[in-house]
Amino acid sequence: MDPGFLLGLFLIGLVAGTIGTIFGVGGGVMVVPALTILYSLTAQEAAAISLVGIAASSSYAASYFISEEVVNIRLGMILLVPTVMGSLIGASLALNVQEWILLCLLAAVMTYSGLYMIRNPERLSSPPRDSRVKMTYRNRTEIGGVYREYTVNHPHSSLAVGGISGALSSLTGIGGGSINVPLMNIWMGVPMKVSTSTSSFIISITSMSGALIYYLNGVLLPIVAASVTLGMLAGSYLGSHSTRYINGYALRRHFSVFMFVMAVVALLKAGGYL
Amino acid sequence: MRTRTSIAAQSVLYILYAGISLTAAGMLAIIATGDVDGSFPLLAAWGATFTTVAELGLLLLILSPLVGVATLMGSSLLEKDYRHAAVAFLVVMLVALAMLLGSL
Repeated sequence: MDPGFLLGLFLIGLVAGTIGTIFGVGGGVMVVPALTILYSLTAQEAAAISLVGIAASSSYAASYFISEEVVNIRLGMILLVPTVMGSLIGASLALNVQEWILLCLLAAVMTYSGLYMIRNPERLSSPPRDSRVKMTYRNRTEIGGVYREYTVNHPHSSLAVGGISGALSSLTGIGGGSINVPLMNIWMGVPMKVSTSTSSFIISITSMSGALIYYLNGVLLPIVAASVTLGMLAGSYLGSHSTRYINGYALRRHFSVFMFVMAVVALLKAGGYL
Repeated sequence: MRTRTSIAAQSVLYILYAGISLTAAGMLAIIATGDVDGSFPLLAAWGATFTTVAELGLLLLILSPLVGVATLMGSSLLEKDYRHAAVAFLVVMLVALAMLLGSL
C-alpha cells in the first residue's frame, strides 16, 4: 500500500473534519464526495468510511457534552429509537440499491445542507403556547453557567423525521446533523446548544449502527477508513479550537456554494458523465 | 444520574483514546515501512500485523459509542423518568443485534 495514498486520505479527513466542525455540518459532507470523485470509490464504500469517521468524532464530542450536562439524554434516547431503526434500514438498503440512486440522494442531501447553511435558522426556545400538546416536559440544562428552562414540543411527530434522518444518514454517509438540529431547535423548541450536543449524541449511535452493517457485509475498507478517521478526528479537534479565531458564520454562504457545486458533480457522476 | 453519565462519558473517552492509539500506531507502522504488501518480503509478515492492529483500533473507534450508551441505558433503567425511553431503546438495540446477526 502506497504511503502517499494513505497520507492523501488522512489529509482529506483532516480538511473535512476541520471545515465540517467550523461550519457545524460534520465532516461527512466533504468526505463522501471527495472519496467518490477523487479516489473513485463506490458510494457505498465512501458512505461506510464516512460513517466510521463520524461515529468516532461525534462520540468524542458527545462524551464532552454529556460530562458538561448539555445533552438532553432523555430526548436523545427517545429520538434514538427511530433514528437507529432508520439507520439500520438505510444501511441495509444501501447494500442493495444501485449506485446512481445513492449519488442522487447524496446530491439532494448536499443541496439541502447548503440551503440550511445559507438560512441558518435558529429559534430561541419559548414556553409552549399550546397546553394541549401531550408529552411535553420541562428540562433544566446548564448553559453558560446559568440554568435555563425549556420545554420539548411535538415529541411524537418528531419520531418520523428522526427515522428519515437515520435512514438518509446511513444511505449517504452524511451524519444527519443538518436534519436533527433544525428538527430539535425549530420544531421541538430545544435551545440551539442543547440541540447540537444532543444531535452529536444521537449521531454517534446511528453512525455506529450503519457502520457496523457495512463492516459486517465487507463493504468497509479498513485501512482507508483508518486513515480518513484519524484525519477527521484531528480535524474535529483543530476545527473546534479554530472557531475562536475564524468567523464560521460569515463564511457559511461561501461554503454553501461549494456544496451546491459538489451536488452537481455528484449528479454528473450519477449520470455517468464523470 | 450525574455520576453515572460522567462514568459513561469517561468510559467512551478511554475507549476512543485506545482506538486512536492503536489505529495511529498501526497506520504509522504501515507508512514507515513503505509498501509492505509486496515490495519488502521481509516485512510482509509484519505488514499483516500492522494492518490487524490498525483494524482492531478502528473497531474500538466504531464500538466506542456502544459502551457509552450501554452505561447510560443501564443507569436510565434505574431512573423512573428515563425508564420508558430506556426500555424502548433496549428493544431497538435487540432488533439491531438480530439484524446484525442476520447479515453475517
